[in-house]
Amino acid sequence: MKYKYLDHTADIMFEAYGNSLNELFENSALATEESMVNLAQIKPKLKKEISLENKNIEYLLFDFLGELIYFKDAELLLFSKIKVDIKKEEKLYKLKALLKGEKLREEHEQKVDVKAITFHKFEIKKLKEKYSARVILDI
Amino acid sequence: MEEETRLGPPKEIKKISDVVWELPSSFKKGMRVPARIIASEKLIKEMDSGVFDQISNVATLPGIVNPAYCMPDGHWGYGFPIGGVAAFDVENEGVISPGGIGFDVNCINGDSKIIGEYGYTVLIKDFLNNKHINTKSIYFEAQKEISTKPILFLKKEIGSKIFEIKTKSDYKIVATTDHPFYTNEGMIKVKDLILKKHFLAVYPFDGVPYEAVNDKVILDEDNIKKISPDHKKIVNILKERKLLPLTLNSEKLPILTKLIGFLSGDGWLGYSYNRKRNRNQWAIRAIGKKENLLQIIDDLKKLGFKASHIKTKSYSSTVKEIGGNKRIICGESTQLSITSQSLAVLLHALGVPKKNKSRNPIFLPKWIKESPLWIKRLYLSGLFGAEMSSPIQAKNEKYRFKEPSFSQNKILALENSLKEFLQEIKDLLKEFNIDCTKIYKQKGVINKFGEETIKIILKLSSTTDNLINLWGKIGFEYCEDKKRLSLLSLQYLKFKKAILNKIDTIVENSFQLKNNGLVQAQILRYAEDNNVSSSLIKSRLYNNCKNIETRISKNFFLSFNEFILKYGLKNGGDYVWDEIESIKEVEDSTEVYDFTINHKDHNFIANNFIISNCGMRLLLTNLTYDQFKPHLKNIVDTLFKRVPAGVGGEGFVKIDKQEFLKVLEGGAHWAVKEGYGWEEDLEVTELNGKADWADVSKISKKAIDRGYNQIGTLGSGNHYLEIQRVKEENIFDKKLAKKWGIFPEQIVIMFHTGSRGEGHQIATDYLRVFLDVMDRKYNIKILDRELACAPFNSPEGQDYWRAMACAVNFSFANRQTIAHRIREVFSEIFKKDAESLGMKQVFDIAHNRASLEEHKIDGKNKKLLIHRKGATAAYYPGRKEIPKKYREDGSPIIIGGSMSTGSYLLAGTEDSKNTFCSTAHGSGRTMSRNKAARIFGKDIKKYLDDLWKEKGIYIRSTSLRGAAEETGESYKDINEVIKSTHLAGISKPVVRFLPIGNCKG
Repeated sequence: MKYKYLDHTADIMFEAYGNSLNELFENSALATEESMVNLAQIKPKLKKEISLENKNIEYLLFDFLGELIYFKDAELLLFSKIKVDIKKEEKLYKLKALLKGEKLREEHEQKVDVKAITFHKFEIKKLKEKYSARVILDI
Repeated sequence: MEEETRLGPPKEIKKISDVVWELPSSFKKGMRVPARIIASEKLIKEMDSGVFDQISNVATLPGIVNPAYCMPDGHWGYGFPIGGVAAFDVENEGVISPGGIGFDVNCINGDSKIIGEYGYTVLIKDFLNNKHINTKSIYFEAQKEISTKPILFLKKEIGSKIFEIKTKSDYKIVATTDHPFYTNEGMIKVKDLILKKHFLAVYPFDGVPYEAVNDKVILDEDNIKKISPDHKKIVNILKERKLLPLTLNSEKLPILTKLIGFLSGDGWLGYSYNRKRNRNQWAIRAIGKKENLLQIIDDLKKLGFKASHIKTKSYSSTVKEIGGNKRIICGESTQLSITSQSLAVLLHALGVPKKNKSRNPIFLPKWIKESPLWIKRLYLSGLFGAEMSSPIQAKNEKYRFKEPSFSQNKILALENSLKEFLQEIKDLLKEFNIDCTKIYKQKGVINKFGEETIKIILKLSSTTDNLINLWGKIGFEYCEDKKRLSLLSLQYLKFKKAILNKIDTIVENSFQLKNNGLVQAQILRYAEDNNVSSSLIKSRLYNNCKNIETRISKNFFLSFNEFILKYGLKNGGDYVWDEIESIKEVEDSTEVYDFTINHKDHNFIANNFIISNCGMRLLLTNLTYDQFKPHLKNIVDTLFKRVPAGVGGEGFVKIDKQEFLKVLEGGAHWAVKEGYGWEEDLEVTELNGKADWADVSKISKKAIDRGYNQIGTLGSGNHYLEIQRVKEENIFDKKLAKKWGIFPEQIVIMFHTGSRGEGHQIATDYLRVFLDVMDRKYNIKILDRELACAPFNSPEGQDYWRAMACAVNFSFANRQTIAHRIREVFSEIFKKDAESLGMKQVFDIAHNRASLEEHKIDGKNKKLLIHRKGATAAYYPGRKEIPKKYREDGSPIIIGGSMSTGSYLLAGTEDSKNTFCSTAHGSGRTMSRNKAARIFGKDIKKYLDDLWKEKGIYIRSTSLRGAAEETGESYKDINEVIKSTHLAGISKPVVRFLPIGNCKG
């Protein structure tokens, strides 16, 4: 399972999983995108690259998901193919991501508009070699 | 497997009345105030447990004013619950207690010493008899000490365990389990302190005991007469300012004493010809760094005199040494000029020497000799602030300080008088148990009159105890640099002394063991077990070596510089960190003391609970339901097309980023100016449609990117635009409804949106800023990262406050352009202009906003920062926040309900003063979106069809899932919410509206 949505009264809460940090970030990003639109309809027509870095892996995920929200508002872009590459150099996590998707069109089946990633109950857990992340999206 | 939400309050909840419930502050660790929930029994039982968790988290925030509130439509949000209301005090200050610094000196043992603002100490139990005394406090944000007035004093029976906390440098304080101490991790209660982890903030200055003073006259009219020929005017002024006759117990004497000390050193006072005024005049000049001169200005203000003229000039003067050598001294000197004639005469009469100091004798004023120790201290600390050497170490001495010295220059003829003065200072110091080693003379310089001078020096002993007495009992006034360095030095010496004492004990015990016949190996093991090196014990016990200090320095002490790095404040300041040595339970008296002092650094602005600034707007029409009904589908379909909704969304208002900045500063004013709407709309918009403190330089490029194309968009989630119908039976306050333009069968339009992506980007940006500085810079600890905050008066807090105003303005402009769009659509379809259709605006009000307001707290007006997250301002009649048109009615409150249950218009009522003028904002969800989508998702099309066919409600939504999530069944019963706010007396229903058409995001 890549991710699942959990019950939250007012907003959206999901848990994403991955065998590596890269996978965890990719799946968290897909969960975020999926909450806004039917992702199956989003074709990889355009691409964007982003790079971020942070000492704190949770803040890195927070910022990374924040970038997706930014592209949605600033350029109406939604992404369905996401490739993440995280490297740890000394104490710093460096992230490079390749995002593929397209501009939102009327034919797309919309869900809700995510306005922000929140830190409420936000966490990344590592159990044995598996990672999971819990995120609440403000809508 | 999904988490099921638990419902209902925790068992600790107390019922206050039918609609008011309270979680006491004992409910959760760290709660500063109780949390109150306004709700009927039915509603509180249906609230998810997250609400209680979150509102009690809010109650832990520093600076919160009692109590934290949650409105009846409360539900789980993030950080704050939705429906949360919290007020924070913007103007108050912080405290200090001698051993540990607390915000509230809350329940500490009666024999604890409290330091008063003039450097004297009072036992806390004696405070009741000395209520006029102000305490020294620490203003944490500035890391500075200030004086504060205790505002609340209580003596109470002990209800909990008592603990003695001891620090590494031997401070001890006895306190109850809940007494908070200021630590490197913020305020921590005694029971939560952890050894090694928490450092306590200590203020090393000891002060001297306070002694009551009598009304003995020190100075009267006759003394002034002797000095000043035109004494009448001067006498009058001094009398007016209560400085004449001057008595020992005058509340102005402490300040005068400090000033006299300082001016006797670094000051000049004279009576000379003033060219501008063409007559002889008195003048005073104080010389020092600007920060110190500013303190003097403050103190002069307290005496009733104004001075503001600070001048910095560079100088270059030639100093001639006796023997012919010349030195050129260049630099800058900053001076404060004080022109008050009466003050100069007063100070001179009290003992400040006149004219060139090298040519005039100096003496210790007689009245000071006859004053209690704490007044003597004030004189000496002022004098030392000017002329005593700062703590200093010799180059190769890392652990000790040099002998402090105090000196003055006089012409040869005054040698004896100067010696006498220094002797008097020496005697005075003796009263503080401070020893001097010698008084000796050196050749001085040649003064500007070409006369030889002599320098006489008083040297003080540099033993640890002597320095602790000097810096701990007297210290420095009007010299921040020396004061701060002396506080650090003092703490260093105390730290060192405590370690030496410990070693001494071990050494003594070792002697004892030796006498008892133990062998060397056994004794050395004992010493090592107690962290004392065997070589030290050997040298003391077996080689009879006495001076252990140097020998052990390397092993036990940090050098002074290392100490500063470890225990000093990063940017310097008036307190020092100390490690906890032990915390143990003790038997104590049955009474403890509690006094509360407000604290400035705890005014703060919290971040993420005031984000989207969304709000409601209500427009009227003069159409009746029957007239409107045939056009319903057409209107809703057209509005759905013309007012973009849903994910992202590009608005119909096309502007570039440059113009967008004007939107952020102008709010609804920008929109009206651009032709979107009517002037009169502004009068019925909160803040008249503009948060005028907005500053676009405080927001990021990203926020602009996310916002500039979204003006005129609704968004999604619970944002919507609704056509509603008034039914006669739903008008509850006929008089008010009529006055506000509402009549039976009327069609009205209500919509709900906010500042969209821009507002959220601002919140996210500052959330990251606050998370970074909150703990590191302001020592604020929070239970949830979403409660990230910064002091309101900090640079970060102020930046956010100004950035937030940009988001507020965006939301005003957004609703203003949408209102315009609605009028256009109606006008097109009914082929009449909007004015003829009576499309006036009733009100526009945000329900996610922080607002600076005045409220009465304990009978006093206070400036509070009210955070309302998913709560609406409900001003009772007469408040200035209400538009003039409605002021006597109470503020209009627009409450959006779900699509099947209807919405309300309320008015603020008298008891809203209890809830910081706040009430509910909507009906509040009960079912999670996920669950609602699961239940209604499959058949949502049919559900919507049925609504249309059976109830005549027509709904358009950009997302079917969205519609399923927003079904009426997912929400609380709005009628119950409104009833609760009415019973609580915070708002009353005016009219209820029923939905007939809806555009959803």
